[in-house]
Amino acid sequence: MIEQDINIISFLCTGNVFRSAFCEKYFNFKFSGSRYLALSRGTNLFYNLVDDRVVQIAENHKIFLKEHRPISISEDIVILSSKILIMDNSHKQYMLENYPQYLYKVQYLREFYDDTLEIGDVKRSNSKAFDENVANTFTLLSNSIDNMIIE
Amino acid sequence: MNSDILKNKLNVFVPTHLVHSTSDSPLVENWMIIECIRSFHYYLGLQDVKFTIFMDVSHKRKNLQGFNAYKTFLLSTIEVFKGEGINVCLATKCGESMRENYEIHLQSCTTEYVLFLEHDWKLKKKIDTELILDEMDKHRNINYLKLTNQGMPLTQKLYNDIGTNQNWNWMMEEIKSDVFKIHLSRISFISGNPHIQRVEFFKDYLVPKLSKLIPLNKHLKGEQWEKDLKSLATMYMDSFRKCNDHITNHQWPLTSDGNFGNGCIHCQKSILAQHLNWGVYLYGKIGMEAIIDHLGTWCRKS
Repeated sequence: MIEQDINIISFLCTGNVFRSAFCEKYFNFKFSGSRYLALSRGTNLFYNLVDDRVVQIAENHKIFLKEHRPISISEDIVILSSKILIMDNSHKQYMLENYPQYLYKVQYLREFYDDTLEIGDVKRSNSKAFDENVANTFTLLSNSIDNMIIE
Repeated sequence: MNSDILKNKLNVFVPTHLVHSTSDSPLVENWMIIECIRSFHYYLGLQDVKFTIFMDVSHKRKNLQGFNAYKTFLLSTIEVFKGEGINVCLATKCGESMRENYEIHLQSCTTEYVLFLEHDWKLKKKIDTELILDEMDKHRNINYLKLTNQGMPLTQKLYNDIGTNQNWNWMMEEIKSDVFKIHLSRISFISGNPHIQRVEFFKDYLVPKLSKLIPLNKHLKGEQWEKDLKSLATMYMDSFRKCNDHITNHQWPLTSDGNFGNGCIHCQKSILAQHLNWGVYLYGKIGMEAIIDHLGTWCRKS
C-alpha cells in the first residue's frame, strides 16, 4: 500500500503560496530518494497563484513554483501526516482550534535551525525590500530543512 | 435536502451523440439516454436538479439527417421527462467533442458541483446524494468522486494489483479512517465514468492547465477527454519524480509482485502526491458491488 509505505510531512502556512510551497518543493528535491513525501497546505487561502517575483527568486534556489496551486489543509491530510511543520503561531492556533487531537504532530519548522520559533510572512509589494525579505526567508526555510535528519 | 438547495448546488452534464451498432443506420431513438436520466434522477433523489443534454455537433457534418432526427427525438423526450417531473433541457450552444461541450457547460455553470453523466450509464441503486454533497462541502480536498461500474475487488491482493500498466488507475486504496462519513478509496485518474466533480477545481485549475497542454484544436475528437486529463496528471507526476524516466516507460508493474509497495520510491511518491493534490476519489470500498451499469458496450460512435 502506497499510503503505508510513504511517510508524509506537511508544511503549513497561511496562503500556501510562499513559505510552505517553497518548503514542499525544497524538501522533495533534497530528500527525493527517501520514503518521505512533503506536501504543503494553507490555513486561509487568499491568492490563486504564487507571486511572479517569488517564483523568480525561488528559481535562484532551483525551486520551481510557477505551477503550484494553493490548497487548504484538510482532515485527511492531517491524519495522513506524521509531522505538520508550521511557520508561525497563527498556524498553531489554527491547529488547536480545528484539529486539537492532532496537536502532537505539530512542530515549528524553525526549531530545526535555532531557538527562535517563527518564520514570518512577507507582504506582497513592489519594493526592493520585498525581494530581499523573500530571499532571506527562503534561506531561512532551506537552512531549517537542511538541518532535518530523516531516517 | 430541500429541493431548491439541491438545485442550486448540483447540476447534471449529459453529453450525447448519435450511436451505431455496427455500420447500420444510427439509433435515433436512443433508449439509453432515457434509462440513464431516469435512473440517476430517481436513485439520486435529484428532484428539480437540472440535466443539460449536449449534442456532439461534429455528427451534423457526418450525417445531417440523422443528427436532425436525433435532435427531434431528444426534444420530444424532454417533453416526456417534463411530464415525469424531471428537469431536462437541450443546450442551445454545443461543441464538436465531449471536451468542448464540457468546457462550454462549465463556463455557464453556477452550481458548486456537477454530475458528469455520459448518456449510456444506468444507476442501479439508491445513493444518499445529500450525504455525499455534505461530505464534499466539509472536505474540500475531494474534487472528484467517481461511481464504480466494477465490483470492488474482494481481496487486498486484487486491490493491490490495480497498480499495473494495464489498469486505468495506478492506485486504489480504501480509506480506513473514519474521517469521511462515506466509503472512499484513493485513485489516480479522472475518467469519463459518472462522477461528481467540484466545479471550482475543474474550471479554475484543470481546464486552464489542459488548454495550455493540449489546446482544444489539438485535442483528438471522440472519447479523449479523460486521456487528455491523464496526460496532464502524468506530467504533474513527472514533475515530482527524480528517477529521470517517464512513469509509463517504467517496467510495469513497478515491482515483481504487482504491488506498488516495494516499487520505485520516486514513482510511488508521485502517484500518492498526485492523488492528494488533485483530490481524486472513488465512491466505494473493498467488497462493494458495482453501482452503475454501462449500457453502451454494444455500440460504437459514428
